[in-house]
Amino acid sequence: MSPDNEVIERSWSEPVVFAALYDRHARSVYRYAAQRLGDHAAEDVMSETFLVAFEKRSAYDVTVLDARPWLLGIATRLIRKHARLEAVAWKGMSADLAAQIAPDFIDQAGARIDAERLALRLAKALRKLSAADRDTLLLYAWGDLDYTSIATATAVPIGTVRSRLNRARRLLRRAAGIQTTGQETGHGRADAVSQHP
Amino acid sequence: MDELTPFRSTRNESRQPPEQVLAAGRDALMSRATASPGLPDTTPPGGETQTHERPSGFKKVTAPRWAAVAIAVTLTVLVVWAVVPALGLGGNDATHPASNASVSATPAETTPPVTREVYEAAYAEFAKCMKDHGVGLGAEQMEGQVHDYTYPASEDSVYRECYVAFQQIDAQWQIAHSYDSETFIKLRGCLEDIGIEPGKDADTVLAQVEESGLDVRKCIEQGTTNG
Repeated sequence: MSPDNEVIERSWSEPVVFAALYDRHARSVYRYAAQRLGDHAAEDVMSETFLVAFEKRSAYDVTVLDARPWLLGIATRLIRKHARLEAVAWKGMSADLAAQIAPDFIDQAGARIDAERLALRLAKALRKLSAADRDTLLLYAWGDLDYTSIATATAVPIGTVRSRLNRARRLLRRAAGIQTTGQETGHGRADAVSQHP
Repeated sequence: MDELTPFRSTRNESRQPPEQVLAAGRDALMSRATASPGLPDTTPPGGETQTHERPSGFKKVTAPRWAAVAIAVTLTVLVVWAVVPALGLGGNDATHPASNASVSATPAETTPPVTREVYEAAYAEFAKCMKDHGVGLGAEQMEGQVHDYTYPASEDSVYRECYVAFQQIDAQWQIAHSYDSETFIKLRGCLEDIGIEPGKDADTVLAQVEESGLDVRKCIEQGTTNG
């Protein structure tokens, strides 16, 4: 099977070849969009992502084998066009998310706080995330991208990705009442190969 | 524990698009792909697209942004000169669409300049053609002296038919007004970042970019020369 970059390069002269990229990544794009916006809007985002990608394929950096970060970046920008829906969805899901992650914070928070109150605080912290920080966090968590790929997807330097994720960490730590010890370091994943769903 | 690790377990792997949705998305893509004879003949190399936000009931579609296309071509030349001075233009990869464009003439080089009156008249004709086919343009606005608009994606065939007459004038106009395009705004910003006051026209800005040794690719992609 040809890598994504070869498919894209070939599609410059044989446009229909681009459909192979759709077959590989449409589900992944849909999953990411659906978790952020719900199924209905995700259908549009998925379809539109590939139409935009098709039109922009000449600008693709063909030295990059995996097109998924590029596609998720396009999807993220399209999601911004549903800003109001996304904001409402995030507000609604932050409590549920907080409840899911709270048990992982309990150990570090110690006996100082019960799970329910911790979840409330985490939910409040999540709602405070800026749109850019939220995009970065969700590309990491739900898009399953590493730092370099997030930088590609969001067209920002990798240092900015680190800063944004560190800001999210700080926010969550503060909400959980966890002491910050020492200097923060990047937590970039090394397993960039395992990006494909 | 990395505070973000728990988030990854909230990823919902079970969420899948219904088969008919997948098929519809694929059909839409194939429809676009089969209508496109390939980049060298249709979309100018390095061509950017701009998405248009449309009112409720409209689908977002894309349309070529010629100014960005022309700049991308110019920048390709600049990058090649900067990176491979010994090779010059001849060293560019002939298999890449961008390289084909770097040696071909843009519309602006082969025809007289388009005046605002001509551009507006051509746009009005285009809008009328769409309307005559029962397709109204939505979200019309001026962006950097260029008309921005939307139309229902389902009416793509009408758009293609009507746009043919407008295409060349639109391309020339956008190239002539590239100074206010998104790409040039980024270039001007990057020049300012490195302490250079951008020139007042596109040619001057391009000359400044070339002289300054600005990392064009980074600037265009990231909107900054830092990092």
